[in-house]
Amino acid sequence: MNERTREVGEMLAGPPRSYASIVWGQLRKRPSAMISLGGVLVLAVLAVIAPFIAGEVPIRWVQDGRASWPILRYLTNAEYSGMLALALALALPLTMRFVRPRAEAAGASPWLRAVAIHLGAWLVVTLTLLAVREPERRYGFFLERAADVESAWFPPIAWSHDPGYEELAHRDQPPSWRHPLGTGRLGDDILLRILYGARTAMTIGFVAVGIGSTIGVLLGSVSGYFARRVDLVLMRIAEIFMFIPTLVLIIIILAVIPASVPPLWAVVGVIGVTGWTGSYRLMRAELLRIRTEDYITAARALGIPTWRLLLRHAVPNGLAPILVGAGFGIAGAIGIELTLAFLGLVQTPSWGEMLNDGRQNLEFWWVWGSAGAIIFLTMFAYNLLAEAIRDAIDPKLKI
Amino acid sequence: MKTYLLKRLLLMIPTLVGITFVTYAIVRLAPGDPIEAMIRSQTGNIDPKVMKESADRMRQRLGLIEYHYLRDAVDRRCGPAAEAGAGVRALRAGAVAIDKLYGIFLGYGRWMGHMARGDFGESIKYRTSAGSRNPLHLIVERIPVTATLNVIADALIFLIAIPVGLAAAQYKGRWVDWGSSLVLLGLWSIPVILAGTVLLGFLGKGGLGWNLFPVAGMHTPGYEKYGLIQYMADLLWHVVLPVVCLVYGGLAYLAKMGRASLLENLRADYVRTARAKGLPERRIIYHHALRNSLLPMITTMVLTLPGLIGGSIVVETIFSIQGMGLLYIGAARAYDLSVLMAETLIYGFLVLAFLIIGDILYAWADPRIRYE
Amino acid sequence: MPPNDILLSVRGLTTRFFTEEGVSYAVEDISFDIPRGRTVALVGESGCGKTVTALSILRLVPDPPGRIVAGSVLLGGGDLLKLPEPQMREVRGNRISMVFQEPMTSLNPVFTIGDQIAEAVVLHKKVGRAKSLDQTVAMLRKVGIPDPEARVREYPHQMSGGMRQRAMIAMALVCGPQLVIADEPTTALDVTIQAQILDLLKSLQDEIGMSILLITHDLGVVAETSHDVAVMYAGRIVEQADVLELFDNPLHPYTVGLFRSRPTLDHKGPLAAIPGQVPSPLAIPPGCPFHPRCPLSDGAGCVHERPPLEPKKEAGTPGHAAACWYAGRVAELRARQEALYKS
Repeated sequence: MNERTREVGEMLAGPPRSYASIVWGQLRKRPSAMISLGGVLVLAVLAVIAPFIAGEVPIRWVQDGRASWPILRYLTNAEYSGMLALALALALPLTMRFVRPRAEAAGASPWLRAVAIHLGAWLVVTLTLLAVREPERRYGFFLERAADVESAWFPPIAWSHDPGYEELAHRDQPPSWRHPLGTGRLGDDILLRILYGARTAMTIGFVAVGIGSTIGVLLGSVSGYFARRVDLVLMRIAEIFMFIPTLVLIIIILAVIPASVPPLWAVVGVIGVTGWTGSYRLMRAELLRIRTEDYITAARALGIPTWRLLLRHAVPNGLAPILVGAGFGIAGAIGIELTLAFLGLVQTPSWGEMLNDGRQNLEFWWVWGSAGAIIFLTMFAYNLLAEAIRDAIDPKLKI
Repeated sequence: MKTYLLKRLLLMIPTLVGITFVTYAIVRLAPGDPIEAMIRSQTGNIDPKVMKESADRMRQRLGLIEYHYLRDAVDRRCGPAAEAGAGVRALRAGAVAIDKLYGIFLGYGRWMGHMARGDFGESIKYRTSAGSRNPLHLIVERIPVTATLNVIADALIFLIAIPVGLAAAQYKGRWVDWGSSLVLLGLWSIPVILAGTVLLGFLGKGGLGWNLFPVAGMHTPGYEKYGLIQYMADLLWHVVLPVVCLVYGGLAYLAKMGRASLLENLRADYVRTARAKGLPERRIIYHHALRNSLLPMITTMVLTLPGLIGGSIVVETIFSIQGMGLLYIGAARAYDLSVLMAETLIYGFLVLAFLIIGDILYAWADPRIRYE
Repeated sequence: MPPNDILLSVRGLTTRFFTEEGVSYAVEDISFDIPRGRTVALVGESGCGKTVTALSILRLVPDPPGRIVAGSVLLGGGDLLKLPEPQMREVRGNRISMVFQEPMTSLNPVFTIGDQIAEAVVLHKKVGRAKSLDQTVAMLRKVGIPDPEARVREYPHQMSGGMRQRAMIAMALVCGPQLVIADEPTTALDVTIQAQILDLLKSLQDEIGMSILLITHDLGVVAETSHDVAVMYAGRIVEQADVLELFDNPLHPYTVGLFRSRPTLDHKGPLAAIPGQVPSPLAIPPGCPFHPRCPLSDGAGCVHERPPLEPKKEAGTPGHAAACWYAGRVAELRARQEALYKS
């Protein structure tokens, strides 16, 4: 009598799905989200492998009968590390599949384990590289010597990063086969600058927002969980950051940073440190809501230490809105950097700088057009993604 | 209601103190002395002694005096710095830090004292058209400019975004809905600088395309002689491009809010009751649901105004409009402390005031809320 | 049921919801009549389709995802399901009106009670605002709200739960409908208020003479207020009778189970629940929908063939119908005072 109904019930419910897989399922249904995700991934890949697409160091070099691979010598440790990070990130699903049986048996999350493994591997390799290897720094004059050797495989856009006197003759050229996006005022290849500018954009986006979100999550959880006086103080501090216009705050903080800090990291740091209030508010609201829930009280009654409580129970629930904020935040960070470049406050090798350079001479549309287009497309992609995640976690949809 | 207002106004004070203190502290921490910068930028035959006097006066007023009490004390006890050991050097560094902090606190206190008496100091960089360096005069001179821009922009955002959001909710799932969402998100993704540059370049005078709009300022030179109509027309003509820049990005947020709010209300029980009464769909949406939908948007709309003032910083820079935003940025870059402090105070006050106005409006609109 | 003067006749009503998870068979082939001036109760557990039935009568089922796929609802000779929408709107609130379960959320919080009630009058009776307000005040008085002239200007949140429900009833009655559908009108209220509201409905029916379709899960409410009862399970009516007959002589095992699971004052021992669970409308068992939980299920006919709702000879009154192959057995077990459910 009962069997039938129970079977039917299970048939309807299906196997239990984790929150993350529900969100992912929703995302997959939206073409805009998938296209944006794809776009962002493509950008990340391009940024990482940029030297193979555009640059002055050849991939293969045959001189006096000996073949060598110069690019491998010239790639910096950071670039190797970045390539490894990207490869590891893309390989996560694979590792997850390997780790799943043992993890689930132990009751742990296969995702966390895979991430931990990859993180460990990346750290080991990166630290080893930093300790052991010193990349080739001397300028190799490869482009100049190319005619004299047996064979030289250059990246598709074979042009110098730092255009010199000879390149000046090629300045202000509209797009052509040789320079698909044309050249700029100093004879620099625009496509090359866009590619390398992607690195700046990625760094600014992820690192700045990463800093901001981390600070916000930490302070927000503390503020929301402990409430009362701690919250009172922290909230006032947050208000200060919220009430002073971000741009002004960034400008005056930028002045405080000693000149020895490279401008990119200065900008990243400042944007991160001033942008934490969004995730702070979200985390705080989430924790204020959860702290009264029974499962928290139960956990405390069991004697679970507070930090573990916050980490395992409170934080994961609040993470989804933080992710949404992060998506918008990345777009915003790129925009802020653009404004700073426009105001002439920083000199970072970025799309913003290109836009600023290009806007003096609007007739060379390929300069500001390329920069403007890529900035717009990137910001649009991140905004779309954030919007899609926000819709995916909307509790009013069938979750 | 009156007690509530009073309470809110009183609560403003710690926040205002907080933001002004933070601004002051950060500027004081920056290397370089703004007074020196100003002195160096002065050309002409000014008697160096007079310059030094006015510089000192400024320093006093701004509280820019450095204190070295602790450092000197350490020096006296432990001998000159050059010959000291590492421990003493560390101690000295600490003493210097504390001295600096002390200087900041005292300086801030002194500034507060002056401000309480209505004295905001003098701008290093700016003058009003009448020649005054008083930051308050500077701000007051520019408020109408920024206000005009922002009020027009806010009104436009309101007028465009809300109908779009409502339409998106009504035709949920159809192309009006996702199309408008995509377009608005796309607009939001265009950085203002890009938009401003393109608009200026192609629509502005002296640019590449049509010479339709002026590129700088709010008025054509010689505008004082215009009659009222011509003055308004001229003003509007100058304002078109900057307002467009301010408006296009702000549409997305409000439209999405409107859509979400209306959708939520269309799902509500009272809408089902209204249908069961036989009301036509039109009345249900525009009378019953709309009223409820607009409620949460009131605070948002009121808050967009101070947000726009922040946004107009960039727009004013692009279009060379002498507004509060341009003043703010200029002061920040020049570490013009008097103006910076005054602007921060005014700006913070405006935001808080608008928050209170928003709350009051909300209470007026929603019969469920009555502030005791 | 004595075929008095039938006001509303539902025949073969079938409403389904087409969702991503599948088709939900909310209401399957329902037929019943509502006589003039009498109260018909639609009883069943949550999810059995009674609210959807009510919404289907008024064509208030949200489409998408729901749709009335078959059947007819006959009112005064015309089929409501075939009416064009503007004419249907004239029926709603005017000839048939509905009272909902939750008075707080079912009233618009930003308009006064007076506004919301008068709105219906202005719409359907085509009178001016002043006159509509007069009628509103009169109706409020009739439903027992004290000081109605003042109340008219109040907002829903300013009234107590009981008063809000009275206001809802006033809003439903103000245009003089022939049928009032009350969807669990007292479920959200305190027990004492419940009694007041039920009394109010009864006295209003005596005075005005409208029919009531009462939707409820509470058999006690049914006993107090209804003349005729239809028991619903998994979207179908499994038993139909007038109230005294049903309480005396239930013929469907589910009805028996329902009665059995109500605690009485002298009840001792564990509460007797019907074993198993109500099936999800997405996956209704074939044949008789109750067969997985039924102690009389024979594993053959009950699983493969759906028993029709038809009058049974074991019934005490001619209108008593049950949808069970073994209604005879149920009557027999009762006559022998044997328990149907062995717990």
